[in-house]
Amino acid sequence: MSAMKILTLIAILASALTAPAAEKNVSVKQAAKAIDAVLQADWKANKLKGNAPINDEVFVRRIYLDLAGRIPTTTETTVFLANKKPEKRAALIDDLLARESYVSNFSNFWADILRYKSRTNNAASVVEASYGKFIKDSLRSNKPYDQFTRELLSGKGFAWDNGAIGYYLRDAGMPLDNMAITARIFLGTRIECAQCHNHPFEDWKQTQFYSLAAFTHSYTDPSSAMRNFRGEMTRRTAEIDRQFQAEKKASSDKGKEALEQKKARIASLDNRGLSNVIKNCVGQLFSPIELGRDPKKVLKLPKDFMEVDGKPGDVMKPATMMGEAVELAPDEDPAEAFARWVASPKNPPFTRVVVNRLWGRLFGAPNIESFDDLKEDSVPMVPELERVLESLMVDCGYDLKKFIAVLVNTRAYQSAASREEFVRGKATHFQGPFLRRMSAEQVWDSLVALASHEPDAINQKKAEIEERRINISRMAADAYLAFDGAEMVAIAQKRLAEDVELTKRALEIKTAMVAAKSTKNAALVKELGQEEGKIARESGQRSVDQLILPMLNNLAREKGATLTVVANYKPSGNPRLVQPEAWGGFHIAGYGPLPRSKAEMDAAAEAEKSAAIAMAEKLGIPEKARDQFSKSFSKNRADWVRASELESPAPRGHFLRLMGQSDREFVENASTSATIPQALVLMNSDLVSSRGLLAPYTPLMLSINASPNPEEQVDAAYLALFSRKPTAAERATWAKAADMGLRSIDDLLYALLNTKQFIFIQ
Amino acid sequence: MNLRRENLFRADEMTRRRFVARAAQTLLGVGLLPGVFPRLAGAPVVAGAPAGGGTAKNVIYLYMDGGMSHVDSWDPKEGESAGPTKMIKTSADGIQLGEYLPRTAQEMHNGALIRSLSSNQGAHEPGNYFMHTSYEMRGTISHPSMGAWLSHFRGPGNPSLPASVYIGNSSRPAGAGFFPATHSPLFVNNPEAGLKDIALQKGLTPEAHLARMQLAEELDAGFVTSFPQEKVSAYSEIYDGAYKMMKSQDLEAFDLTKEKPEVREAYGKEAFGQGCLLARRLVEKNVHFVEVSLNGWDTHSNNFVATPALCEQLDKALSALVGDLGQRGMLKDTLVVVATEFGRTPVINSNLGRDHYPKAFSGAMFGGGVKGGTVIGSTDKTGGEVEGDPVLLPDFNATIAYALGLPIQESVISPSLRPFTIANKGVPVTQIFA
Repeated sequence: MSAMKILTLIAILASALTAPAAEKNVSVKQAAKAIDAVLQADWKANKLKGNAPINDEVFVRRIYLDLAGRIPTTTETTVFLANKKPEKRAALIDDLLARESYVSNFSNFWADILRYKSRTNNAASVVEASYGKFIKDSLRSNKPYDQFTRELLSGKGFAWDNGAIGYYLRDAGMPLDNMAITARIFLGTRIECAQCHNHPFEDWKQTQFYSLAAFTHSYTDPSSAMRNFRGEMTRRTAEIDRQFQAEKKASSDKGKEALEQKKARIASLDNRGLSNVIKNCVGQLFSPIELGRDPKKVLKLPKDFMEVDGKPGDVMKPATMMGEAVELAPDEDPAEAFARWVASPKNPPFTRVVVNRLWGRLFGAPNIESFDDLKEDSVPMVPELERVLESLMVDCGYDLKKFIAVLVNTRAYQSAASREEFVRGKATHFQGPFLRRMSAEQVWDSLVALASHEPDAINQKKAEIEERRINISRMAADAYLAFDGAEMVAIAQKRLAEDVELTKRALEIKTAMVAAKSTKNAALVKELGQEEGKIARESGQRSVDQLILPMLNNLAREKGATLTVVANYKPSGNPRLVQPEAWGGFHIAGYGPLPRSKAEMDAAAEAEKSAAIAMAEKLGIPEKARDQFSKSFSKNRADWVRASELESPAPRGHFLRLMGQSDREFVENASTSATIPQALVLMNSDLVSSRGLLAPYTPLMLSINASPNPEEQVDAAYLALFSRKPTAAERATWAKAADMGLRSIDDLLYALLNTKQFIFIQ
Repeated sequence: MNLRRENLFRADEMTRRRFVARAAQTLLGVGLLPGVFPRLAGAPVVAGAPAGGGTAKNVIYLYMDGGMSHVDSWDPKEGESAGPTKMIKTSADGIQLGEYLPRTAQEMHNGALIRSLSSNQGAHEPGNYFMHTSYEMRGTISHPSMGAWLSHFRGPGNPSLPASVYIGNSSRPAGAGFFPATHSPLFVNNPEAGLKDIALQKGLTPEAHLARMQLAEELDAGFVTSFPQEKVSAYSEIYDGAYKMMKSQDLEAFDLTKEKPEVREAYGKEAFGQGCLLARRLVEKNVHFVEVSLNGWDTHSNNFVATPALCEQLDKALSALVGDLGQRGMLKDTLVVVATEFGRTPVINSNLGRDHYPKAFSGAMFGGGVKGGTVIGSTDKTGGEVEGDPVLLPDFNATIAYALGLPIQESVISPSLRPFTIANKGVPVTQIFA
């Protein structure tokens, strides 16, 4: 055989070994046709017809909302409508799938499912930041869904190396709940009832629940960063024990005296006190930042277990209760075996759930009614469609962008929304998509598109803060890992001794404060409070000088880099946070970029100003107004940021929450119901006013004011909000509105932004 | 319990949260939802007048967020546990309080104490959740608060106002749980700021506003005709509801400037005091459940500086509220509850603080048919052990529900097909009532 042939053979073998699913080369066009054929056959059999095809105006608004997560800008609409190419819809679909706005849109979708929070009480913010990045990066690189799932369900390591650990840490302390949620999200099975007793309706037993949960139960926080400290403490404790053994042997009182000596030595070693010194130096930076595995950790049936097929305290071995059985190799990580079992084409519910989620997202109703509560007897609305969709997903190798492309290229998707609404329990044949209200994020992001000149911009400031946070944690962890354990303990002991004095003083001051408070001597209380703060700061500073700085210098030496002090670094004002805050004041090359200096920030502000003036020129804003535009540009950039670039969830009271954004406490907790606060915020807040969307230089108002002609202004309003021209009837209604005193374009815009058709996806 | 699915009333129409939410959901007034949540066949539905014992129509629920120290307040001690805190006599024979609640002490003849509360949840979020819902916090379901239960069984007391209101700053207060969003409390962060977005935009006259909204309706006519669906018409309903609310006279309940300055002073100038005043005004307008939250009780250090300061706020507001309700003849109808997630250690730590202590702590109730001057349960001389039978948190909540005459034993099925009761099978402490 020629070398070429051998190489080809090897390549084929290699790809066969690494390719997770039997990925075929799927033609989007053919696959879309196949789906249409199935639906057409179903309609014929039921004597139904498909809905009428939609025109380009309806299509462009719908496809932008479904793929980019927002309405198209006036420019985007105009460009598309003017395009004469026959394949322009397919081309636009491909274009939108490749853009960053796809990532923004679908990160909201996955945040809802995974309950992603950018701030939780338990995890260090490093974990949330890394997890959020992981989700977005996975979308950006179009990671196959099965791989994405496997990574979430078996992620290990430091957060900065593997953001996927955020999935498990989302439920830190509640691993059984985590398993119930995994079953729901990835297998469409609600087994949470079986967490506490045999399931009342289904066949799930509590023992089966526990057997499943046993797969991930050995997860733990290894606190690797502290291993040098722990190693040294273990060594010293072992030394004390050796001494004890020797003294006991040589003793005449059966080791009684020796035991007392041992106790005293252990006490003076003061593991707890030393740990506290070390912990105070890192605070939230290390709490936790890592996921690992402890093979000795086992899952036992709970104390209150009452069913007949087990006893409280029984150790549960990992076992699946549906699909294929899983055989574990002796040293195999059960979580990895579990992840492979879940995310496999051989596990039909896995494919079924994601297929139905996406179909439901795009068509307004899933093909199987309750996709997160699949049962043996769940009947799809159109059975043949289900078969085709599931095969398609597998054939695509779980490529979500491709799957979505197929769906939105179908004739069925590109039909008018049905007049009737979807009713649970009633059959549907998907003659067209169902009418959907925009999600909270789609509404907000659409307003952002109307108000911001860069609607898809990433929140640079937030990204920089998160990046810096991750880098500081990483630097601290590496500093601990590089520093000699014995030296660390010696320094900690010195610190502890010094602190005893400081603590005495602090206690005296606190006692004095109590006395002063009872005599209502406010001035004295204040003075004593400041004293107290000074002592805390002093203790903290000593830890920085004696422990943190030597560790950082050591790390810098190891890396062959220099340790720099960050200019204009502002630590927290809290005197108790001196140590963990201190890390942020230092930088070593290799741990991200140096935070920007004042000069650099001033330069950036200047650059932004120039960019704003340049944009003003481009938009044809008259010279005397450019300065004002530039000022409003910076503020505009800060105020109008897409949902995916804000905290997840948005703060309570934010427009997003009022419109029903999920609080991310529970799976898919978003709502599209109408509530009175929504009406209030749309009518009465600053949003739809000259202090919001109707401010002079928003893209919306610039497009309106591009022409002084009132007719053209009405056209511009409809183009911006609905991607179409007004009908004759609508024009007439507006003309008549002058009788009610409505003549300004602001009146029309206010009315249009409060219509139902604005927030529904036709 | 082994419910078979077929036995559940209308099981095939059992709805998930999303379907229920899709029906015309409004925060206020439009459409109560009887019968959406099926009840177990045969279970009685209690409505209308309370079932005897308690006489309450309203609850003002004062929540001390962070774990209020019981030995420094409701259950004072002598000896080491007390630290510097002294005890004082009250207007009720045989009852003493910590010295930081002097005004409340003068209202003790209207109140009752439960000194035998006991919980197994020693962390803030789970403890807070357990106290508010009677169920343990889970990652898979959200349980309703008492306000939501009341809203579910009785609907809103005033069609222009929410069924329940939460005044405070907790990041995760108990809400509607698995009930539809209608039963969510209205959140008020700042009691002095009034309701958000309730007034028209500056410069927009009511006539111009009405004209604009009429225009909106006309421009929507085609769309509404093409899509005669509930989810679309729901949007008309909320706009109607919004107008009703904007025009409602009852909204002036939110305007604290309508109160005399002396009254506002008496409640205390801080947000908590003003929040209690707002609560009284809301109850006067038939809002039946108002929670007011006071944060800061987590005194791991400096307990004897922070706790007296917080007690001062509580003392002023609580005594003003109880006195005020009494003067207006509303005390019998209104149960004022003081609750917290756990108490604090009788042992004082090295930072002159007290740490979390769920094993034994106290709660208080005033008005609402409570027998004045009653003490339920007791702790030992350190305040560390409950003597006799403890009152568990579900029992505490059952007592509140009993006061309101709510059906404590009735099971309600959640959208995920699980049965729940108001107080998770808690037993009401009926001896607390007259």
